[in-house]
Amino acid sequence: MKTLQMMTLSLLVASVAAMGCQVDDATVSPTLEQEPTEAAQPVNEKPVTQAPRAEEPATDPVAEPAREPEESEPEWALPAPAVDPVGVDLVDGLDEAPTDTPAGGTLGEGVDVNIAPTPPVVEPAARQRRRMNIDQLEKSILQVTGGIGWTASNGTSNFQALSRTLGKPDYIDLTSEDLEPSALFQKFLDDAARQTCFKLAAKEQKITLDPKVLMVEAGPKDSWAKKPGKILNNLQQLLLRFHGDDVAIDDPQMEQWAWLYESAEFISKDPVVAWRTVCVGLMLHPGFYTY
Amino acid sequence: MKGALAALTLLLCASSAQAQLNNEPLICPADEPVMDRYAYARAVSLDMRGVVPSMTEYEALHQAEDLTGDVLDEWLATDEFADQVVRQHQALLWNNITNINLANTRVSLRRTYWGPGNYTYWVRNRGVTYRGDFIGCLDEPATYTANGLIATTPYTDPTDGDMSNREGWVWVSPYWAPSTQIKVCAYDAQDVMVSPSGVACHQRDGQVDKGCGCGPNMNWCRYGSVNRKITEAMAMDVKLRIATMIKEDGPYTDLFTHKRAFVNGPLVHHLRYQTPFYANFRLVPLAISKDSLPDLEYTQEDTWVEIELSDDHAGILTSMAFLGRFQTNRARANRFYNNFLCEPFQPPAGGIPFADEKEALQPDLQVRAGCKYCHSLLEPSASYWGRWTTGGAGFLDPEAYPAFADDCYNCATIGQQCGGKCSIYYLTKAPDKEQEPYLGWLRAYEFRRPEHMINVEVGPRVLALTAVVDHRLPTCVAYNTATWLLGRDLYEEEGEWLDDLAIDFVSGDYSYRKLVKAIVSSDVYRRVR
Repeated sequence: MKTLQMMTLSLLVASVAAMGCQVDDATVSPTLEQEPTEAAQPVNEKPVTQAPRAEEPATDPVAEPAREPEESEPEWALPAPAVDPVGVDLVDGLDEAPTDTPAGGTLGEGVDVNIAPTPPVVEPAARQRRRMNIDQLEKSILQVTGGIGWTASNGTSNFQALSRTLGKPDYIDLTSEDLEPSALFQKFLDDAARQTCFKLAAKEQKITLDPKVLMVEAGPKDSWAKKPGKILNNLQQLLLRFHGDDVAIDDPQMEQWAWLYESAEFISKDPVVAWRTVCVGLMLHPGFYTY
Repeated sequence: MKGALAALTLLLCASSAQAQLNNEPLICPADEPVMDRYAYARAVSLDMRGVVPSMTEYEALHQAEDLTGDVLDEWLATDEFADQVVRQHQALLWNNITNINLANTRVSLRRTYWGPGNYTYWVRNRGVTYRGDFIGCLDEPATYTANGLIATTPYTDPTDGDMSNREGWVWVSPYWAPSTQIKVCAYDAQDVMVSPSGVACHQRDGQVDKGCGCGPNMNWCRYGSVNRKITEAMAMDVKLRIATMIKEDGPYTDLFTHKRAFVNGPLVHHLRYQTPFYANFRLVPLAISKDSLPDLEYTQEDTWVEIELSDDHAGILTSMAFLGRFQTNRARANRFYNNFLCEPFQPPAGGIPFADEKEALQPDLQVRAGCKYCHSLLEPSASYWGRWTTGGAGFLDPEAYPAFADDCYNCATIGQQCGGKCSIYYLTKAPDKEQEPYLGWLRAYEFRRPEHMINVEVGPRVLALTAVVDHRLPTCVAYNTATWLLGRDLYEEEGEWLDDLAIDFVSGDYSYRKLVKAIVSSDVYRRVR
């Protein structure tokens, strides 16, 4: 998700660049200011010559050889501005009649730009982030809720009852596991999260002693207005429990969860409902069901 | 329009010139590819134990620099890790055979409803033998004639006029619910071992003899979920073999060489009483000695006992579930090559060439144009299972089933009728002249070259051991495990790493735990995208 955000930002920056923004020279693509190269010359065509422009004195190609690239330039840097073999300015002299005598030319005071494609960044090989399978999901929900699972009215596991629908292979009709976070998966995860979080919040509302897993640092009466510190501490605990994220209280990541809690409490006027909302949010977040 | 675009451009340029967005602090940073110790512990825990770490385990990390090797070892020694490995191997073995029908319709009970809680049990396909029609008994207690025969009442079916003689029922405590009693039609409830006509009722011939029934406690018949429980037990046998290997941290090669198997009540009952009454999957000739079976009642579903098999077995490759899931020898070899050697049988690039008519009729697939690209290797490989019955899990013992049988050769060549043994397991017909040299030979020997004939006798264990020695199997196991844990295929440039894993796997006595530990401890695993 974060990567997606970065890609969006990159696209925005790219579109800005494409609209003509002044961007750092070292990173820009070829522009109209680019000096011509040999490659720009028509193939199998006799080179054309051009008389020097009035404001630019003719330059003797013999006297002024092509500039050598500096030693410090990286290998992928653009070679020095190419000078036509017969020493002409290919940009402005196309409509001039060719002359027998080679004439000097100048390419003007251009800016060196790098038109070579940026070398691909070779990223080290990595594990692929993937979705939990149904068994992992069921066991993990039981783990984070302290033993409360998604069950039917008779107490049987809904995950097991729906395992085929959710892509768990039976190795007769289905031989490979579908681990796509499909819309169907999201729907059932949503059902599971709502049921387990409702049960968890209701249970913790009744008990006064530990062990609690949802309202550990903040109690059912602690509101955002009165005990923001406790709320944040509790959120910190939940992020570790549900996502394995050890985030500091002042970490930007905490903002969204604090906002979720605060909004839910503002609407419901009930901290328990707010914690229930956070519980559902944590379970539906990819940080929970992927690893 | 151009003006508006220019204004927007200016605005965006102005924004970018600030080099920082106003809400920059709220934007989530790009994921760090290298996991911190908490995320790493979470990933390892999910892969090894199938569950996220507990808060206690997370909190222990506050004081530690990283997840230690000791913790990894601890997790690798859990039953949950064994479960994960079993789950992973199910994807290789497909050991679900609940779709197989083990017992034929002559031993399959049904029941007639007479009223609430009142049923009589009977076998429909024996109805004609017993009563003259596909009809059950009357709802009345059975009576007997003076000489001990079952008394019957003539009956005419009002719908079709068919005549029959119906008996009454008797109370029986069935093996699947021994603490209860059910009403079973008297003919079906007969429990004699030998019928009045001299037929052994516990054998296949008994199911067509009027004097034979379902045996004591209905042992020879099945009802309800019996078939499913037995096939599930066969699948569980494979799971337990894998789990035991992991829990004992034994060599991975045990999977293909070990002689252990696991049985529970339903499986023991089936092996002891019901194998002669097979349907489309035969366990005969029985590959497991009845003497090795423990004393378990059918109802002891959750009691699992390890038994020792004969030397002919080759671990999971000759388990009932594997042989049942892959019922031809080609399918068995194909599965082994695909999943344990990572060498799938594939056609040549550009597809299989068309054969001319003469070539297409070549009966030996090892040389038939097109087919030979796979079958020149597949046929000799399949012959390692040559003594294991196709469409079943029986074993053809060399003493009872020699490679060449004179009687089968005789029946094939002089026109006398071939018995069941010859017609099923030996080549007795040669539609093509090239098959004639193999008449009288076990089917697995057909078209075997001299150098491949030994395959039939040594069995799949030697195939597996050969692949261990030439390093194909360890490399494939390392590959399978790495792709499982990384969630992707390996890149070409990771070949060297794979080789190292395979070498360490071998030098580590084929310990699967060590292999998994090596992978999850690698830098590759530690990075995630």
